Amino acid sequence: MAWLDPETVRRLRSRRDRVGRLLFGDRRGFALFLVSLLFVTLYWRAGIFITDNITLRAGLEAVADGRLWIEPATGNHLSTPGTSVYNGKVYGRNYGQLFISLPVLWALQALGALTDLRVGLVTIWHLLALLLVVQCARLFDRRRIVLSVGGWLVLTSFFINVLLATPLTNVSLALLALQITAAVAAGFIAVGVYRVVELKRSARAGLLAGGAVAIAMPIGFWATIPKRHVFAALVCVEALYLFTRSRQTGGLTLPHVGTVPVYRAGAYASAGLLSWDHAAAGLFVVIALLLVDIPTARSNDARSLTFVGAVFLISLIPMFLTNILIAGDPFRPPRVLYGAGVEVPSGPTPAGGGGAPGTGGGSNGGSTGGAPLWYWGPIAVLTDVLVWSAAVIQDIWIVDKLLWLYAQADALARNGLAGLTRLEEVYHTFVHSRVTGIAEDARFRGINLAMLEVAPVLGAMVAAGAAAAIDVGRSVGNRVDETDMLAVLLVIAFVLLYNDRLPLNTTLTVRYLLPLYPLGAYLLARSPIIGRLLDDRLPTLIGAYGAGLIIGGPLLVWSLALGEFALAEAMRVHAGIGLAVGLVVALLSLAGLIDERTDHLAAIAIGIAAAVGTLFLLLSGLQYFSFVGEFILPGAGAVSEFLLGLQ
Amino acid sequence: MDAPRAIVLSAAAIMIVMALATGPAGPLTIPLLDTGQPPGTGSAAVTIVAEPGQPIIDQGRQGSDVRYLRVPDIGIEVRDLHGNPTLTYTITVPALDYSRSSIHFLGQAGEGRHAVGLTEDALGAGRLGEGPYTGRLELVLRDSQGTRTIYSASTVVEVVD
Repeated sequence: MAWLDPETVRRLRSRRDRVGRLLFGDRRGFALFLVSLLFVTLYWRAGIFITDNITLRAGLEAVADGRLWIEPATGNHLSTPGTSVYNGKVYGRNYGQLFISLPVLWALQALGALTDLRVGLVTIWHLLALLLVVQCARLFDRRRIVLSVGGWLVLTSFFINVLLATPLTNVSLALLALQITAAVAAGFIAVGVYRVVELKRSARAGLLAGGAVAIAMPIGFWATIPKRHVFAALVCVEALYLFTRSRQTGGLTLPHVGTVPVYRAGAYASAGLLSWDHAAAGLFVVIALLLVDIPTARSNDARSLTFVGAVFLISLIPMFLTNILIAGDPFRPPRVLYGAGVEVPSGPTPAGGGGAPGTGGGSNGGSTGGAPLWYWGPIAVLTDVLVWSAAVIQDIWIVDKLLWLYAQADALARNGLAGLTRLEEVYHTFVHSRVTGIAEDARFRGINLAMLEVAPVLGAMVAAGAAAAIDVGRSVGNRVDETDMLAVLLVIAFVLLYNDRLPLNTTLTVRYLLPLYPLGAYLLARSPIIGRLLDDRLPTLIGAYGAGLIIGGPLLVWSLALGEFALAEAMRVHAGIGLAVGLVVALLSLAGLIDERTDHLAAIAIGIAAAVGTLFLLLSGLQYFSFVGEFILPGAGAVSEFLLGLQ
Repeated sequence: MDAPRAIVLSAAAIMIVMALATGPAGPLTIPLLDTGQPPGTGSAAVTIVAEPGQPIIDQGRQGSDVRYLRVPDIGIEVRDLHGNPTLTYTITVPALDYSRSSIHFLGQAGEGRHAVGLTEDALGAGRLGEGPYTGRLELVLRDSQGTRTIYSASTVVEVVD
């Protein structure tokens, strides 16, 4: 860099390093981020996967035009799931997501002005791949080989992709922007899991947990489909990380103010920002945080609490503003707390089958009064006074709103608990899915998979839970780790939030509970049994993973081709394999609690389970759901055509 | 600058230059994947070399109560190909009020022998009875001279358990 003096270069480098450390923690985190991003964009398709994406795309196009409303609600107006009508205008939702995608949209427009859009995107992908090669060279300390081989591989792949390239026609830049932000968010989920596991256990465990989240769990399925679930999962992971960091690091010292707990505030701010996208989830995350944070904080002095409260309120401003601009009421988000419409995957035929439009009335406005009155003399007088003063206090706007919030949370939680008593439904959601249809479209019958079926690695949660229970049972005084506690509470929060509505239509991989996957990976990494495996049996695990991919992959593809499996049938095959492997993982890890000699087998099982997860992502992206749209990477498109041609 | 670093930097530079070259300001353009001529134009001589077997409606796997209609391929041979005529392979089952086609572009397929097929389709079990059903398989060629039915035969669709 002959045209910049060394001093400037040094300052730029140190600023870059500081930003990098803030975002990714360290070089390993950055490499993990790149792996995740590059992997999920392998099967990135430029198309509408599910009908409410149409709403989001229209919403972003409107925001880019400088307005929050999509179009006037006249005649044949947009009524895809997620739209709602206020004051004669059609509004979208997920405004948080829309606003952060706006700069990406501008960048894409700039890219289109400089390069052919397809080649530009291919180039950026390969530049990121080159960046990953450089990181690996530094991390593995084999600079020459990694750089030379890696560099040539990337260049070759680039030329192949360019030779196969065709122009991207009929592609919505808004949709691409939304997909990019979702994919980047997914990358940060992996980084977040790495950082929090690294703080609590070790960098190696962190890399494995983060890696599993990136390439072996359904986060990758939804990474290029712009829905709120990826962001909800990101917020959970960030809240967990910031909370843990706040317990381990001191705060920031500001002039005139003193030391403020910036990480602690950051955890609450994440929840606040989530509410911009999905108010109910944000509310539940805040409650989970409060339940763990306040009792276990180092100090709850006025300065800390004020700072945290202030930051939290600031993080709520975007949501309040958007709500006011749309509905006139800061507490009325565009998404009614219980969602609306039936979301349908858009199939190969042009008519994507929009479901029932409009907003279903949720259980808004719980009752805030009605305590039983005691009609006995002085008690009656006392209760009259209390009821009267309560009424006066309630009339104060802020109290009214807080009570309303409480009622909402209470109603949601009660519904969730009621849902849990329907054990059969719980079983179908978490363990073995029932074959259900989606909007009467026979093609999609049976594509909703249960959690264990799609991420068999989570089978080890059984053992982790058992180990934790034994630990607590042995000595009740055993202090449960606060981060673990928060992770468990977040799991409970999301289960309660959604459980009464599960199994739902179009959940595919239990997408509403998407945060449970990275949270589960964290809890597994914390469990001593898995820890033992990671410390002693890592080569076995990695070997089993590789074998699972290299042998199992072609085997699976070949047998699906032989049998001419249709989309839904192939998904059921994955369900079956996932269930079987998941059960084996559960059994072997339980066995590990009793006898360490089964560790060898458990490591193999978990490696294979991870391979099953990766295969699911690759095949569902490249083959089963290839009809969603054009593959951004022409090479991926070629692989997809090959796979489809085998049928 | 040592060799590996040079490789990486020049790889990056090459990629960026290529990208800019294909842009609106650059000299290169990415060719459109087309067959040169609009579909449904041109001409070809198509003969049937292998008649399709019987379509079946079967259970599908994994115990879902969805039935799948599987239509066998029809074997054809294409000669004297000019332009991009299209072949449409259709199955109709009047009793089920069902009809489905697939379209094939001969300009891409080229001359020689090909198997023309229809991917399996899912049918809701509610609409189905015992069978068997009468159906019709047709192969229609569309080219510059118009539309010509190459193959048309009634067939029996068995419901298999």
